[in-house]
Amino acid sequence: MAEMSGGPAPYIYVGTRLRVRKSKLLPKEEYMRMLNMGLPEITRTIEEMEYKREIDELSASFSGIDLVEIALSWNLAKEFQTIIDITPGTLKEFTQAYLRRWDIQNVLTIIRGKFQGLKPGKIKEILVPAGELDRVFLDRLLLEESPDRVVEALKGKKLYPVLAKEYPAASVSKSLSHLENEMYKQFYAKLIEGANGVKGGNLFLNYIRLDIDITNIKNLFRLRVDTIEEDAREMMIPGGTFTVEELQKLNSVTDQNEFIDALMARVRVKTLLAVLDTLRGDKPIREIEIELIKVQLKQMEKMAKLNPFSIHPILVYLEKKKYEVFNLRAIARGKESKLSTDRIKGYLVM
Amino acid sequence: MLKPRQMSRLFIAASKDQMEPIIQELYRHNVFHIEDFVDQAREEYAGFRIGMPLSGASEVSNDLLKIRSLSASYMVKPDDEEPDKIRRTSEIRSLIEKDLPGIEKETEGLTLMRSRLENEEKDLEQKIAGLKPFTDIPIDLDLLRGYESIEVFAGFVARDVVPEVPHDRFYSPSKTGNFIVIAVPVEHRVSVEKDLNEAMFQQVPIPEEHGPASGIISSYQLQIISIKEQIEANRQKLEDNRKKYAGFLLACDELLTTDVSKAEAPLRFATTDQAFVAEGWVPVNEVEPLSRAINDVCGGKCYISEIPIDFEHDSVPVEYNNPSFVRPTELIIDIYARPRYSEIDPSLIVAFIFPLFFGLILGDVGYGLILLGVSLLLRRYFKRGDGAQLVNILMIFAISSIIFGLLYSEFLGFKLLWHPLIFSRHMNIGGEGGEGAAIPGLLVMAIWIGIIQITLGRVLGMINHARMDHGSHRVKAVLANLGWLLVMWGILVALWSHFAIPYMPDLMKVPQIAAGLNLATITGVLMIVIGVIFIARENILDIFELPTIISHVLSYARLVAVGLSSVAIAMVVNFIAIGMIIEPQLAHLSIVGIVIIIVGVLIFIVGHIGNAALGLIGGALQSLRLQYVEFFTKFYKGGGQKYNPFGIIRRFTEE
Amino acid sequence: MADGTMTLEMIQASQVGLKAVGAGLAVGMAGIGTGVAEMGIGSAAVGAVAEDKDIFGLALLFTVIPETIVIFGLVVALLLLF
Repeated sequence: MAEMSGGPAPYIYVGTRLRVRKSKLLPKEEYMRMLNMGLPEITRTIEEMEYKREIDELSASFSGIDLVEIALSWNLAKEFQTIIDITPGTLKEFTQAYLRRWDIQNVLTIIRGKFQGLKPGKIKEILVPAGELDRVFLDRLLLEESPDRVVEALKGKKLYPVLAKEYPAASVSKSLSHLENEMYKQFYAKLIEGANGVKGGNLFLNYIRLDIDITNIKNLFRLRVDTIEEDAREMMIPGGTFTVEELQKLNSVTDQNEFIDALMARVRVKTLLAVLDTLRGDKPIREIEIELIKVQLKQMEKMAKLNPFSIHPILVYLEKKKYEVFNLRAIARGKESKLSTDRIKGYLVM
Repeated sequence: MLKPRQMSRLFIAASKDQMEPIIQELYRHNVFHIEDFVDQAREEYAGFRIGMPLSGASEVSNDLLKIRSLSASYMVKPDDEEPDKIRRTSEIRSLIEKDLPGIEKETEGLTLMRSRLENEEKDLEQKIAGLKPFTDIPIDLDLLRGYESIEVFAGFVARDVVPEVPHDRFYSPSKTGNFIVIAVPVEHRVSVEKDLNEAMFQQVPIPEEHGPASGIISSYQLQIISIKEQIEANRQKLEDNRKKYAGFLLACDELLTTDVSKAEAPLRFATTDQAFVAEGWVPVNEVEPLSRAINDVCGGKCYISEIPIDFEHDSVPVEYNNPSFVRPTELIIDIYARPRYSEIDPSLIVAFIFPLFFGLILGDVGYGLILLGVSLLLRRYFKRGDGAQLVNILMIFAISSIIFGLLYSEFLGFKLLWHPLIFSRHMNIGGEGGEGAAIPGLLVMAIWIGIIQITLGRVLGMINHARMDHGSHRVKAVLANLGWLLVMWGILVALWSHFAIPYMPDLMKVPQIAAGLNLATITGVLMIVIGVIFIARENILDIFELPTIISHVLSYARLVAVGLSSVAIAMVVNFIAIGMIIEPQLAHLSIVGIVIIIVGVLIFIVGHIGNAALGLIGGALQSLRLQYVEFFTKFYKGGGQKYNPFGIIRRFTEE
Repeated sequence: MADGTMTLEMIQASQVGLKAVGAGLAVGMAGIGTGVAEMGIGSAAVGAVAEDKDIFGLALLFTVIPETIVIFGLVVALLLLF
C-alpha cells in the first residue's frame, strides 16, 4: 500500500465503502424492466434511485432526453468527485490521473462541436465534468468563439503540450482522429509514469496494462472491419503486453482464425482467452466490443478481490458506474429514437 | 409472538383483459407482496416475458417528475409533514391539469430570482473585499491606474519599503497585513519590483472604480442591504408558497405514485400475449377475503390458488406479529437483520431485556428524569416513522433508569433517603466514608445475568435448528447447541466445586471421591467433555471458539463497569461543585463568594448534563451490544425479506 | 535487590506490587492488541455503514469481535490478583 499517513485504516475504509457502493449499482433485472418502459417512466424510475438530486434539480429547466442526459452526466461527475474526496494518499493521485481521461473526452467534444458549429448548450449536454477541468472551466471553454481559442484557453493545463503540437494539423484537415490518438497515448504514458516507483503503483500498473491491452485488442478488431487501410501503429498504445510492432504484425494477419490464434498465443488472462475463443465467428463489431468490456470488468473484479484495499476496488467501481450511466443513456436514447427493445439490448453492458 | 405472521403463497393467473381490475383490487387490499418475475429464471415460466406497463404510465410519470421537482425546491418531504386536509382524488386530478403549470412557472421564477440575487450579493462582496485594502489610501482609485509612463504597485508587504528612485508612496501598517502603494516611473520598475519582492510583496489588483475606496465601499454596502432585503422578500414569498402548496404537492405525489405503481405492476408479472401470472405472498388470514374480492371483480374468469411453501428455495417475506409495545424494539431487531420466516422472532424477549440492561447501567432517578424530559420534548418533533420509535425507546429507557435508580437509591450520584434495595453503587469519593460500592456482589449479579441470557440463547438456538434444519445436520446442530450449554455449565460446576464464590452455589462440601476431586468436579468435567464432543461433531473448527464461552459470560461485567463509571463521574461532579466550591463559600458568604458559587452551580449543571449524555450513549450501546453479540450469535441469523405489500396507506388523499 | 537488608515484609510487599504490575500489563497490552485488531474492522465497518445504514447491526457485531482478546487479558489479571 502507499505511504500511509493514517495507517491502513483509510484504505480499508475506502475499499469497503466502494464495494458497498458497487453492490448498489443497478442489477440486470432493472434494465430489463426499463426496456419495457417509456422515456418518462425511465426518468422517473431513476429519479427514485441514486439520481434523485440531479433529476429533481434539472427537471424544472429540461425535459425528455435532455433531462436524462444531463442528469446522468452530472451524477457521474458528482460521484467521481466524491470518490476523489474520500480516497487517501497516493490512491487519490491515481484516481485523479485515471479520471483525466474525461478531460480528453470533454476537450475533444468541445473542439468537435465547435468545428461543426454546434451551439454551446447542445455541446454542454454531452460533457461529463468528471476530470480535472471542472464545470466552471468547461463552461468558459464553451463560450470561446472558435476551436483555436478553445485550445489557447487550455494553456497551462496538462493537455496543452500535445494539443499545441497536434492541433494545427487537425484544424487544417478538420479531422481529430490523429489528435485523439496522440492525446490518449500521452494519457497512458503519463499514467505509467505516475505509477512507476510509487508504493502501490504496481497494482495500478496491472490495471493500466489490462486497460491498454483491451483497448488495443478492441482497436485491432475495429481495424479489421474498417475497409480503409490504416496504419495500425498510429492507433496502438504502447505500454501493454504487446509492443506496437507486434500489434502491427497482428493487424496484417488477414484470416480471422489465424488472427485470433496469434492473439491467444500471447494473452495470459484466462477469462480473456475464453472470450477470444468465442469471437472466431462473424460477429458485429459492437458485440465484440461489449464482450471485451465485460471481460475487462470481470478481470478487474478479480483483481479487486485479490487486493481489496488497493486502487482496484476504486477502479472497478468507477468503471462499473461509468457503464451504468452508459447503459441508462443507451436505453434513454434508444427509447427516444424508438428503437426496438432487442436493438437497445444489444448496446448494453450487463 | 416469537413468530412472524403466517404467510401463504398465492398464484393468480388470468387473461390480460382482467389485468387492470385485478391490479386495482390487489392495490386496494394492500396485502399482496409481489414476488417479482425475473426473465428466464425458472423453466416452468418458459415463454413468459416481463409485462408492459398499462397505458398512461408515461404521462403520469411526467407529471410526477414535475411534482417531485417542485417538492424538492420547496423542500417538502412526505415523512416530515402532517396533512393539512385530506383531498379528494377527483379534485386533485382536475387541479393538476389547471394549477400545476402556474405553480411551476411561479416557482421557477422565484428560484431563478433567488440565485440571481445571491450571485449579485456575492459579486458585490467580492468587490468590497478587493477595495478594503485601499480604504486608507487617501487618493481616488482612478488616479492609481491608466498611466503609460508610471507603474503602480499595490499589495501587502512584510515591512515598509522605500525605493531609492523617485516615487510616490502610501503605506498603512496594520495587524492583518501592511498595505503599500508605490508609483514609480516605468524605467525604474525592475529595481522597485526587486525591493518589494525582498519584503515578501503580494500584489493585489487595483479595482476598476472611480473615486475614493471608502466611498465606493459604502455605496456597495447600501446595495447589498437592498439586495438582502430583496432576498428576504423572495425567501418570504417562497416560504408562503411552501405553506400554500405543501399539502397539495404531497397529495399529488401520493395520488400519482399510486397511479404509477398500479400502471407499472405488470413489469413485475409474467405475461404471454394472452395471459398473465402474478405470484406473491399474503398473510394467511387475508387469503380468503382477497381471493373472493378478485373473483368478484373479474367475474370468476381467473385462476387463484395457494401453492405450498418450498422452504428450501422460497424467501418468504416477514412481517412482525407482536403486541404494540414491542414496536420500538422491532426497529432494533431490523437494524441487526429482520428474522427469517421460520426463525424465532426475538423482539419480545429483547423488548424486556434491553431496557432492563439499560436501567442496570444507568440506574439513577435524576438522569432518568432528565432523559424522560428530553424524550417528551423530542416527541413533538418526531411524530412518525423510525424517529418516533427511537423516541419511544428513549422513554422506556428513562423509565427503566428511574426504577433502577430507586433500587440503587441514586439521584444524580447522591444517595436517596433509603438504603439501596439492591447492591450499592455509592463509592468513596471525596473521603466521606460510607459503605462503598458492593463491587463483588454487583459483578456476580452481572455474571448471573450473562449465564441466564446465554443459556436462553442456546435453548432458542436448539429450537431454531430443530425447526429449520433437515436430516442428520439437524440432530448435529441441536446437539452442538446443547454441547455449548454443557461446556458452560460444566465449567461453572467445576469452579463451584473448588472456590466459594459469593451469591453462587458452594459445591465444595459435596462428598469427595478421589484425592482433591469431589463428585461435583467430576460431574463438571464430564459435562465439559460431552459438550466438546457434541460441538466437535458439528464442526471441528468450532473447538477454537471454546474460549468465547468464558469471554462472552465475562463480557456481561460491562453492565457493572460502565454503570460504575457513570456513578463515579456523577459523584466527582458533586464533590467538585458542592464539596470543593460551593460549601466553603457558603461558610463565609461574600460578594466574590457568590460569583464562585454561581460557577459551582454551572459546573454542577454542565457536569450532570454531560454525564447524562455519556450515560445514555454508553448505556444504550453497551446493552445493545450484549444483545447483538452475546445473545444473538447463539441462535439468531436473520436475513429475512421485509414484507412489503403492493399498495399504500393513504395519508393525504381519499377516493 | 534481594540483599541482606530486605525483610520478609518487604519481599511480600514487592511480590504484591509485581503482581499488580503484571495484572496491569495483561490488561493494557491486551487492550492494545484489541485496538490494533479493531482498527481495520472498524474502518471497514464505518465505510460500509456510510453507504448502507441497514447493516449497522452487523457492522457493530464484526467490530467488537476482537474484544475477546482484552477479556482474556482481564481474566489473566484477575487470576493474578486473587
